Amino acid sequence: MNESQAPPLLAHDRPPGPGAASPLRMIAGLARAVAQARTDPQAIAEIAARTLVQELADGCVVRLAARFQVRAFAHRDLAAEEFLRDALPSVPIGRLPAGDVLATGRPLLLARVPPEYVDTLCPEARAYVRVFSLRSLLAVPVRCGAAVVGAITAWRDRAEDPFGEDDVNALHVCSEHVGLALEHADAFQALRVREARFELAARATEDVLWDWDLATGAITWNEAVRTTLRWPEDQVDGSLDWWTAHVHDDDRERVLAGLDRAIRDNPAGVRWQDEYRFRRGDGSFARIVDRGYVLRVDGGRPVRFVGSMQDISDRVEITRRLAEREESYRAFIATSSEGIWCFAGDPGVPIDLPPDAQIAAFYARATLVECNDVTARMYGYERADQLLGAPLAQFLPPDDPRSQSLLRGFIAHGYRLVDGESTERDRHGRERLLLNNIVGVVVDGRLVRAWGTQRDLTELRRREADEGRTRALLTAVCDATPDLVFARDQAGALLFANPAARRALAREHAPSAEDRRVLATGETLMLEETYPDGRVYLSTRSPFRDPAGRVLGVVGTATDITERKRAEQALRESQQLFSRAFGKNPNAMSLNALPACEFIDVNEALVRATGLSREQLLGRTPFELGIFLDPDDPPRLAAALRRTGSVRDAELRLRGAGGEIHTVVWSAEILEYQGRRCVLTAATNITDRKRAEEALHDSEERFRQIADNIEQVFWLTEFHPTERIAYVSPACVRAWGRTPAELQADARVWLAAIHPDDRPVVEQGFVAWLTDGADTWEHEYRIVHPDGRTVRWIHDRGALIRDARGRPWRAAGIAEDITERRLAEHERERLVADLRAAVAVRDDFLALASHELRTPLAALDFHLEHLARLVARHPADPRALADKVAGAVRQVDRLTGLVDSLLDVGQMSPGRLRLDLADTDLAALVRDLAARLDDDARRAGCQLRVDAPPALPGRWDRRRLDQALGHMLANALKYGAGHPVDLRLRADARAAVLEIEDHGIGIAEADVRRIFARFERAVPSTHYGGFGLGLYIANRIVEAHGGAIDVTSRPGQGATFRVRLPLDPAQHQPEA
Amino acid sequence: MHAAHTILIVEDDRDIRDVLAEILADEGYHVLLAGDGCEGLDRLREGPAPALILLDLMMPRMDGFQFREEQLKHIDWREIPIVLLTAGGDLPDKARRLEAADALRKPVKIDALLGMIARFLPRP
Repeated sequence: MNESQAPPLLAHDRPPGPGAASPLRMIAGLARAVAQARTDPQAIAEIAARTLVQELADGCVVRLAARFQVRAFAHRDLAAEEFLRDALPSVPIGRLPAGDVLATGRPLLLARVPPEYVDTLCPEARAYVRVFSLRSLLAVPVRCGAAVVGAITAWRDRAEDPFGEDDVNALHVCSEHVGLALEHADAFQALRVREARFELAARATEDVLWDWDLATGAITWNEAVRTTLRWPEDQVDGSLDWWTAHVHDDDRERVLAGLDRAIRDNPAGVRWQDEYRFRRGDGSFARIVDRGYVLRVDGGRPVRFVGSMQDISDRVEITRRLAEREESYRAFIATSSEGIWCFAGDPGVPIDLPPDAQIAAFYARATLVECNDVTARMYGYERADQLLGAPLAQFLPPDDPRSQSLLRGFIAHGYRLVDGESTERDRHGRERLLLNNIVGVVVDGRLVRAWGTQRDLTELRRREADEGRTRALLTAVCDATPDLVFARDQAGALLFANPAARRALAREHAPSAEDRRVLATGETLMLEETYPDGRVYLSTRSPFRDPAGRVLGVVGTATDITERKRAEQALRESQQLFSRAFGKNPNAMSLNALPACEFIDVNEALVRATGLSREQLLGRTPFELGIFLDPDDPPRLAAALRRTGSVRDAELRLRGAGGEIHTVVWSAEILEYQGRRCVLTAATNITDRKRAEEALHDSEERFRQIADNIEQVFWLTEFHPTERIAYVSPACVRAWGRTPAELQADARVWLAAIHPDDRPVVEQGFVAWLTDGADTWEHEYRIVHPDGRTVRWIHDRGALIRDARGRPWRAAGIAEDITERRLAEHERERLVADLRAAVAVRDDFLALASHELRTPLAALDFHLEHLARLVARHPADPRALADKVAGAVRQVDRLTGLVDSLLDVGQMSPGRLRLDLADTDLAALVRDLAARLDDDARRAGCQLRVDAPPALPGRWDRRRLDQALGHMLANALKYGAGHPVDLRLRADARAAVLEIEDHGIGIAEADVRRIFARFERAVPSTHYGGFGLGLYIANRIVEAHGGAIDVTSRPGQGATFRVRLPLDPAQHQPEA
Repeated sequence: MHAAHTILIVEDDRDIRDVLAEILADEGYHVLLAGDGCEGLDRLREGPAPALILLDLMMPRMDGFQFREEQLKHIDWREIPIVLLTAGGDLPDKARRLEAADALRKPVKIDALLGMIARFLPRP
């Protein structure tokens, strides 16, 4: 496009009105500018907006909708222009003043914009109005062709110069220019697109495109002249001459003539075409089909000739080759091992018919028009010509559904069939299975021919079926076995693997050494291998060959022998163990075969024991070697073995090396060894042990003889493992009242037998003995017999036997029953004590006696001496003398009585007082006594008052009682002098009670006890004087009668002595 | 009679006590009699202190030992000398224990007794 072809600028030609000078200028400017802008709608709009602002308005917006989508803003004021650019683009055109114009196609003039109009504007426009104002508004539509594509809106901010009609016109004109420019731009754009497409096509095509300007004679070529015709760029000349020169000489004239005719004569629209040879850049000739088209202008003047040259050299070549091919094809058909045929039908079958109709048509029209002999033979003929002309139905029985499906498939796959099986009948009616490949030839919408090849699969299928069965069998067998079955090819890839093999083997692995050997030598190998799963397999490898005998690969089988190997290993270990246990055993062991018992194996110990070598032993029996001493032993042992299969710990005597006799403990067991019934024997030599045992036995016998026969109790205590009495001699029966068994049964029995009082000490002593390191122990203690009463004294001595570590191991001791001795000792001690007591008593008595006697002696002495002095002084006074003499005589009496008493006392040691019991009247006795002592009582100033029953009989020793009561009465007179003395006698059922009460000085409490106790213990008393002796005698006599004396007294208030006498002392005999 | 001539006889045997009292009275002594220790103390309490005490040891109620103990506690009686008159033995020991001026064993000759008494009291 060039400027000279720009469209006219002015659509209207109006006379200029007021302000028309500006519109004109404006329009001119616009036109120029648009012309420059040419095809860019945006640029056109911008120019229009700017021009309008320059010439017509304060502000202007050009908006083009639809496919243009153009917005252009302009304003005198830059700030306002910026505002417009920021605010308005986002506002849809419908919401602006231009919206109405766009919708209606009618202009809008608001010479003075009313305020309420502003309210109808969009917020952005309102915002503009607030800032910049809007006094006068004008908008016109823009048309491109017939359609309204946009609007131009112009406005003035100033009030003093509103838009008028002229302005409207001017704006219209502008709008028209813009519309035209847009059309132009549109057309140009379309042309550009077409040109671009054309250029692309031109570039893409292999055809040589030429554009011959008939005016200038220049020819423009496309790329293909270089690529297809192989002309280098610098050699391509845009002239006709260049092209003419390269047309083949033989064709040039004709071609040029044709061209000429086309240019001159051909009416427009008729195409020129020719075929000729054209030289390529490399010198070779291309076969060209050239087509062209003359462009004429009005009047038919040809201006251009455009066309394309198509290189059909290849096609020519192809055609030639096709012809060749047909030759060879024919040959191929004839010689092929496959059946080749062609069915044809006339007319062809329309391909748009439904399949069923097509199939019907096939059957109706198709006949075999071509085939080779192979085909014929498939059907039982010899030659092709025997078969030609046969209808389709002869081959594919129409009623056979398989025929239908084959034909349907053929149709469905676009008249092709690949490897379709058909079941057909041959000449003899036999079924044949054929594999077909069919191609249909469709011409002008009709299937005219179908070419096919076929193979007779009948035999093949039969073999395949057989093979299939064989394969299935193989697979079943392989699947069933737990063994691995697999085959690898030469490279090691798995060809076959049963499920077990699939699990255990890798998919591929390089052929192993064994594999390679098998492949190389063709031999079969057997080996043990461990697979990745850790299990051990016994494998075979053998070659498998093709029918020609060539080794194709390796077949392998593998049986899992892991368990077997483990068992073997275990067996080996167990055998090793056995041979070690057997061979090195310190006991003599042998393995003998049954039934004859010849030695199969012997260990070192047996060799040593028998003194025979291994060679001498093996194969011979112990019987022939004379090993068993006692001829009864072998049959007995054999019987035991037969019964129970084993013998345990039989004590035997065997003959050993050098003829020595050995005592053994012999055991045997029947077992299976290496498939034979054998007996395994073991003998432990106990000869030494037996000897020791016998010696021990003898020594024990001797010991027992001693121990059993001594009186003392011999005992043996063990401390390990527990403390127990290991042995107690039989003498313990007498001493302990328990049998040895009882004492030995439980160590506590001995301890329990000890008297409770002695037990703690003994126990402590025993424990201390064990712990404090002393070797001997000695104790005396009492034991109690099981009857609970019998007590024996035991003297026990023990000695400790220590073990190697010095710990108490055993103790041995002797216990003696020393009861008799102890009793004797006690008796002696008692006697000695008695004796001492008696001696003490006597000493006491002598002291007493001495003391007692002295008092009356002193009185007598005084009396006599006084008498002497009186006689000397008053010789003539007989009264005084008589008094003294009487007094002296009295003292002598006193002395006599005292001496008697003392003698009595001497006789009265415990147990020596004998009573002479007789019927006695105690009352009479008391009265007599009172009478006898009446004189003494008067002299003492005591009045004797007797209160007694008339009679009180009983059995007593009268003399002794008289003596006792006499003493007591004398005491009362002595210590109760000057006061009455009462004698009161009573009796109850069993005893008589006499009270002697004086009213004298009385006795202190402590003295009461002391009086009576004096002679029981030799306790010196300061109070007895003559007081106690008489009381002592009285007490002894009363006690001997089984009675008792008690006293109540208070110092200063006298004393009451109470004598209680059983009426019949025989029931209370004195102690022995 | 003068107190200086008073002798206290503490003796439980009546016969001895009576005859001895008679003998001494015959000699001109003033004699106080007591049957046991208690009576002896009574005598001391009653009258002028005697110049000498003849003390028997074996007596009921209160014996000679106890009497002496009491006597020694009393400031008025402490100085009165005692002479033991006992049938028992071991006189030196007893005399020492009781701080007796002398000790005589029964039976004792009257002359010896009088002689001993004269050491403490002038003959009347």
